[in-house]
Amino acid sequence: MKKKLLAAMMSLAMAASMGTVCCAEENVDYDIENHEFKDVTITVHTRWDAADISGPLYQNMVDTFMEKYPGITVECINIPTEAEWENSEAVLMADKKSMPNIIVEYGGSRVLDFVEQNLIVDMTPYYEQYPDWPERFNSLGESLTNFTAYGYEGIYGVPYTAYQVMLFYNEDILNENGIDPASLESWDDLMAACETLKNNGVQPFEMGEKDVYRFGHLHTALNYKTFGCDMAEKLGTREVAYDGEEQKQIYNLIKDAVDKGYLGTNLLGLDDGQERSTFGTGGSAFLFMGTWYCAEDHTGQELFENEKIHALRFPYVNEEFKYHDMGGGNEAYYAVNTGDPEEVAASVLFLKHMTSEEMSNMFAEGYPAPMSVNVTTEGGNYLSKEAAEIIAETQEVRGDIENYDIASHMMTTVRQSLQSLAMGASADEVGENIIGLIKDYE
Amino acid sequence: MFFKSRRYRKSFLKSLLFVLPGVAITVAFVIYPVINTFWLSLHNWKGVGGAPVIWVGIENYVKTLTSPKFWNSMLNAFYFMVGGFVILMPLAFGMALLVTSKIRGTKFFKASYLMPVMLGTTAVGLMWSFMLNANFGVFAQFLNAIGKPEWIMNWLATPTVNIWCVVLVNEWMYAGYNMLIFAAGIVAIPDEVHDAALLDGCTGLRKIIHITVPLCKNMFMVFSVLCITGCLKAFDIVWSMTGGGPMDTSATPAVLLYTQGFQFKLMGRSGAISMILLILGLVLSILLNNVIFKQDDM
Repeated sequence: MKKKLLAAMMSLAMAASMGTVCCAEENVDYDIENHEFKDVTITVHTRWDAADISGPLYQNMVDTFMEKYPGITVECINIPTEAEWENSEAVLMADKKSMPNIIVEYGGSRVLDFVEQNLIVDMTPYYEQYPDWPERFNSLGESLTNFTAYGYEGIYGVPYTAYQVMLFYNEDILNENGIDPASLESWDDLMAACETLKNNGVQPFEMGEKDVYRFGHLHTALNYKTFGCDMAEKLGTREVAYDGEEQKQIYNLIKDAVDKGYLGTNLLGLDDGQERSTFGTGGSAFLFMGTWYCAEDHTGQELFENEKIHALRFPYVNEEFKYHDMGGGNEAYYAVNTGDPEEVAASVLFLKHMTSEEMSNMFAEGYPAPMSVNVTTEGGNYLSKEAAEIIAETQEVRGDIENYDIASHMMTTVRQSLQSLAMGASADEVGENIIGLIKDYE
Repeated sequence: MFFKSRRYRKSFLKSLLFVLPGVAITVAFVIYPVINTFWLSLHNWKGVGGAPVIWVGIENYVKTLTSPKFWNSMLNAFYFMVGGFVILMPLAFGMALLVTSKIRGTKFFKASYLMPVMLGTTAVGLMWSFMLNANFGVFAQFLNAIGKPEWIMNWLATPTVNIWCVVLVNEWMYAGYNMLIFAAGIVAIPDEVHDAALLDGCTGLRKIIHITVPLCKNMFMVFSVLCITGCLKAFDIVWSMTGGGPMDTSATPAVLLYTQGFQFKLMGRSGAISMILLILGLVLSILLNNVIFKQDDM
């Protein structure tokens, strides 16, 4: 009798728990705007910099959100330095208990691990609930939220900023050295200009490769400008090898410029902040950087205030790919599935608030970088307008080439290996190193 | 009979209550993490919450011990140890002799020697990395000023040179802290011993060699254990000055275990490095205690 009772109780318990799960699935409230929140705290992990103009604008969005929804508290973890931000995210995402509710990421393989573990909220039902919401996004950030290439249907994340890597130049320096900016169309043109500058005692670039993304970006941009944007998928699927002839050609382009001293005098001793400030104060003729440079705080920079800094499309190596560029969606926000429906709903609501017309316009007016969210305001400085004209003619874009890879460690692996070019390594050694690390980490 | 007595049981329970918090803290914060790390070192895990943990046996140990990166990091840890015993130990001992001697201005010396420790590692690391910058650092400017620009090099980006720069900054930072260890030993030597030495005509360097050093043997042992374990787990100063780069050339084992775990998402490999460091630290400490500083020798 006891056994029967026990068995019956167990089956009841199991049926009840199953029912709870089913009901829980069915009862997810996607109408988050009409949901009542009480004492919900969400954590947002971003790269916004309180010392730059973007940080206060972001904080303003957070404050207005908390005023509008007093039941939700937003706690911010803002780490501007890329390497520190990556490390912090990796540490926090290692355990469900420490995961932030919203993370900022670049999409691709960097987010794939999280999507695989069902840690990123599929936004599809929310977009269906509010059909006007996805209408607010342009095509620039699509690649950041689409994981169908990896076998995951759905839309993961909310795209936000966009970018394109460009060549910025100092008009005065080029004029003084008889270089016509309009003539800088190809990589060979750029190298010839660098030679002229170097011979005249002017430093062409002063790159800060202490931040390993600098050569990482150069490698990506040169790939697209040499072989077209398809190279991202070819390398990602390993159809093209990192130690193959095509890639060695790219490593050699960088190496040649390094050896001639065009890219910098202290490549491993300077970081990207010092690189930017050197260029901004007339210490170098060129700056190779994403369009976020246009939006940064240039207060007190004479060159910028006198409109002496201008933007050019990054030079092509193969003319066929003149309008293929590194860029697209820069950062997207991903709601993390922490297992708490209230937190998930509050996180999605925060993202909806951030990408609303009012907030996006406010942000774009203060920080005139390209956006993956449509803005209806006429903001921006002279440089961001020049950049926008270049972007308008771009035919195809891809982001960091390593991010199309199947392995999530590739961004670190490739960037670290490229750093060896500044230490005298050959193109062969870079390729061998990358392949060796891929094998080691498999 | 005594063991079963009520008095014994009461006393035993009382003792247990006193010991329990310490045991609980040790189990929670030392033993459990060590066991967990060992378990992790036998598995592959991407470091993402909820990701599968796959059993791989000793593969992580094999890959670690056959990795040139690991052996390079061990070499860097060895440089730290060489720096510790050859530079830091005599420096800290000399400073301790100075601050415990009856000369004027010892308070000023004590404060200035301890200042680098009080600054904090990140501040020290950043300060020195700016000073060592080949473009605008104070050393580069000095070499330019004396007409030796050819001596300027990228100190923190040149393999071997960069780790030695970090080692020297580390010695500069910790000299004051280790001075305290030796000073504690020196002041503990009874005055009678010094007086007897004086009567026997043993003064100056002879007194230091024959009286002070032998009577500070315990302090040398403490220094040695702290130095070896500290060198094996050196992280903060390396991270703030070079980040272990470029290309991991200045990485210590502790930096490597961090980057392998959180940058390359190889948590099992990181666990294996941790276990190797733990075992090495234990073995070296036991060897020091039982072979070099044997109690019966004292």
